[in-house]
Amino acid sequence: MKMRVLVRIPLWGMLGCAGAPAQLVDARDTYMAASNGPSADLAPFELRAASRALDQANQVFDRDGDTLALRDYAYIAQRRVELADVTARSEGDRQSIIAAERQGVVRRASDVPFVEGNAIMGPEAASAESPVRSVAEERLHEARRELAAIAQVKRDARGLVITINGSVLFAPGTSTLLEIAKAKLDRVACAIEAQREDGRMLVEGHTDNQGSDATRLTLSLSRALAVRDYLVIGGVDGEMISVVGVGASRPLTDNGNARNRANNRRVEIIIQPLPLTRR
Amino acid sequence: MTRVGLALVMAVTSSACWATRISPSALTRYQASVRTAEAQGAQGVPAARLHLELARHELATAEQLASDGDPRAGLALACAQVDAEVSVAMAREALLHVDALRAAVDLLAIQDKGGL
Repeated sequence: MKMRVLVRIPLWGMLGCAGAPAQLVDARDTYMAASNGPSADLAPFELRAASRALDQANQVFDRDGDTLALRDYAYIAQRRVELADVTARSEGDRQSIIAAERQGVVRRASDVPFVEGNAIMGPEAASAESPVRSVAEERLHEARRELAAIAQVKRDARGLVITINGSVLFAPGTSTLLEIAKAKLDRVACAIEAQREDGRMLVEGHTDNQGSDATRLTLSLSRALAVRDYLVIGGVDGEMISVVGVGASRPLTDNGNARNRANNRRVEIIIQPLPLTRR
Repeated sequence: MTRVGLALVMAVTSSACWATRISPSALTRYQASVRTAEAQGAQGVPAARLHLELARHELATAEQLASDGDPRAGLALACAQVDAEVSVAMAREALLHVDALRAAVDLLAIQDKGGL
């Protein structure tokens, strides 16, 4: 299952671009072209990042008009679109190589050193491991690194468990996602898609031990639903996501102090392993 | 943290509301991207080399803005970061494109031999 990228019809596209500086107009035009081209299918994550950057530039323009800062935001948006296009080209090449290998071609690796993360591999190491697979592995590595930067990630009997602290996602006592939380969830969604392999997901809401059982269960379920709904809006197949609110029944630690209670207030996104019968 | 890095952090934490937030990790991330681009052979790929040079120029701008206490220092670093990332991507794409062309040539050879 591939994440669907919603091709947006921006309001500014319909109303015209009166007054916008050339840099912002160029960024908008470039994004529109990219979103209707190969990048939509071959680099959806990067295109989503470009969309967010362009949204930010548009917001700055709407708020402050044409400023030096706006031109920087437009520059960043333009570059993000370029990044999506380059990534799409790479993915196209990668698929061509795989198709050729399936027809009997033996891969000849490039002579230029290939970098896995920050470790430089020499040509002999690059030839031992196909750069085609290494690109996929590197994307997975980057996805995991992105996840680790914004959430706790571990693997247990349930599968891959991504734990996001509740205070990062919601205002106290509410199930309304904070604006800053949405950007984090976008990154989580992208990282999830990079390694999910069509497995199901379970979103679990957890609370601390404050309040009644009924309140805790309701809040934890509402929060899990909010996260699920946002992921679905972002393109994740809603039929592949289950939700549950478990209240305070499964704390990470005791609720003896404020810090521990804060840690217990969380949402867990569990990527479940594929059933053996499907492999 | 270097003095420049500290200046960048101070410039943004005392900045106007629209300045891009920055942390020491942002500077570290930029430096890692540049190292990756260089290690990927960006210097040998004209488009990648251009973006790498742009990234370095923008970092210099960020450093100057930070020294001046200008809150746009964070945005300048963000511009440098994205150019470094584009450089990395272009260098990698060049590698893959070479491999794809080789694979296409090899496939034609197989087809010519009646292998398909």
